[in-house]
Amino acid sequence: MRVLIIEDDLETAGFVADGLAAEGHTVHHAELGRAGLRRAQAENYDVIIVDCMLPDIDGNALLGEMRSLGVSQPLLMLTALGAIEDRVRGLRSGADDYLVKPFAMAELSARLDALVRRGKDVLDNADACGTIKIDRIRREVWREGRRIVLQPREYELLEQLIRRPDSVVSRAMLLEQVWHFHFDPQTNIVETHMSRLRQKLNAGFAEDAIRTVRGVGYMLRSDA
Amino acid sequence: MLEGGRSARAIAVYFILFYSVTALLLGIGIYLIGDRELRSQLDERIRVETGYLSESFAQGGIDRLRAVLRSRDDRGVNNMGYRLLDRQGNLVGGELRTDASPDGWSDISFRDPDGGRNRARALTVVLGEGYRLTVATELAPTILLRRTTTWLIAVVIAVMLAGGVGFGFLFSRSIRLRLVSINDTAVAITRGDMSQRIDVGLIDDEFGRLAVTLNHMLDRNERLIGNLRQVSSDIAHDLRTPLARLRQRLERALMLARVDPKVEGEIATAIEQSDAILSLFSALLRISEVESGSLRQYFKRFDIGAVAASLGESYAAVAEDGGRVLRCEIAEKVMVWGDRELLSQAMVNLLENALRHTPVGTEVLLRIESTRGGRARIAVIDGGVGVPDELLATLTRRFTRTDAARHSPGFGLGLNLVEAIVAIHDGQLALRNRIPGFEVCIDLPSG
Repeated sequence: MRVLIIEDDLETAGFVADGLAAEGHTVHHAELGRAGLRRAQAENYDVIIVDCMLPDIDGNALLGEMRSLGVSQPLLMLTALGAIEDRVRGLRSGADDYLVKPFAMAELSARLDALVRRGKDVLDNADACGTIKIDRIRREVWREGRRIVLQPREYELLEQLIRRPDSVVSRAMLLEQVWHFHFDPQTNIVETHMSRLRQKLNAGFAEDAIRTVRGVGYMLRSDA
Repeated sequence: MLEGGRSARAIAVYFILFYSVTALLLGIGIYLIGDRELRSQLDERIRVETGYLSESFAQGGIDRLRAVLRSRDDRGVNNMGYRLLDRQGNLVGGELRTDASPDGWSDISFRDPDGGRNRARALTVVLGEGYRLTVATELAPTILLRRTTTWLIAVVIAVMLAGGVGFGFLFSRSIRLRLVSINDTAVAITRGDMSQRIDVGLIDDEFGRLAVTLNHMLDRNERLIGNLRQVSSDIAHDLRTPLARLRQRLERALMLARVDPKVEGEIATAIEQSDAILSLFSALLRISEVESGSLRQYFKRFDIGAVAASLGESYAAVAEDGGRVLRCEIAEKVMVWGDRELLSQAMVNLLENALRHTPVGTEVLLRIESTRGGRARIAVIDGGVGVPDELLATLTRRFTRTDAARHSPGFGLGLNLVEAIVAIHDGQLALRNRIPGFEVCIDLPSG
């Protein structure tokens, strides 16, 4: 995918550019908000990363300006402090997602992937990945035609994973989407519920449908 | 809220009492002095009259005296009464009807011509040949004086009471209004709105000047606190930035150095450790953000029971994995005014404490209810070992960890954050031991 990063801190920008390039993406970098805005209008990026504290323009103002000028690509905002107010304001200004510095490359990559896919996502009431099928309306799950009964949280975890088959969904993303937690609880509730989901999905099957990506999150395998 | 102008009212009452007593003393003084003056005038008149009559007796004998007395009584000119007795005590002259009056000066009572009794001042002298002459004059002027001064005092005290109560009411009301505005401002500032200032008012009085002084102080405090916040957030920011770079470098190193699993392990551990420091900073910054009160602007009305039910469902599984039991008792529709995420985090912190610092097998209860006082109550109750009483007060301090918690992860900031979250919601936090176990209660104003 084609990524634009608007970030005045060269080290962060370099880290992101190298990391994304290593995964085969094209990355353009703008140091200032105005220059970034011009590039965003001129070129067709899949996703844009904006730092919240730029020397020439406030990140929120830049987001608002981009949206009002018709830049419709997914926007991910980076912030240094992780204040709740920054997040709320950023999302109100038109950001689609939000990440606090420093972040793991895998986390950024998982979020960008989710943002880009969301744009292309055709939300279907029924969804399938490999041998697993779900019915979103009735919240029912089958594997190879066999009905699997899940608890609400387990179902919601699976729904998040099945939206993006074969791509990693991070622990933090699951906390935000399933539990609406934008903080890190001391106990690993994602792991607790994921292991229950996994047990129920895999009972009686040889292949593990869920792959754990160490230190990042989980992925639903389409080949299992 | 300020409790009315009780002290202002007390001041008014004291003033009324003080002036009433003063008026009373003044009245009594006027009466006593007036009375003495009047009496000495009366005495003087009696003395002169007695002198004149004695002279008449000395010159003209008893007949002349009786004639003089008769003519005086007939004319009735000088408000004086006379009584002339002979040696045997027979009335031989004068019309004054009274019981025997002693020799010399005395206050006597006499009978009016119309039958009423009255008081009089009298002088009885012994003339020659055993005759006794009593000259008396009514005490009416002094009685009038007493009546007048009593009335005067009563009227003055009544006016003073009415005026005092009226002015006292206005006085205490105006003080209360001014104090209420000061108090409201102080309450708003305590709740975190540092920009509030006291209304100086239109009148240039002591309160206005006090308000100006207090506002100066508040300006200064706001600047200082602003500086302090700036400094602490600068420190956190300034330390976060190099730490963030360190973490990025480590991760880059990990990407490049896919050679030796040992090296990779070391780098991964270093990343974990820098993440731990970063999450400590995040926790501190989160607490100061909550304490600043700025998040109050995002408050909404919502059902805390529904949020708790969903948390209970999630944490029941966590409890089960840890060999404990989580039970929920959640009332229908318990509405609060607040931030859903912050209150979720408070409940998560309490549940995690209860599920981690209790012996395996402990039952933990999450209860949401409306109290009889119309408040929403969140209670997390466990049947564990409790907390040593001497540590109860320190639990909400930053970096407090009991011995039981020393060996599990965490920074000792969980309850401090809970306290800040409860404070921004104008709630009350109570921590107490039970037998057995421990209970944390959060009371919130209902939404």
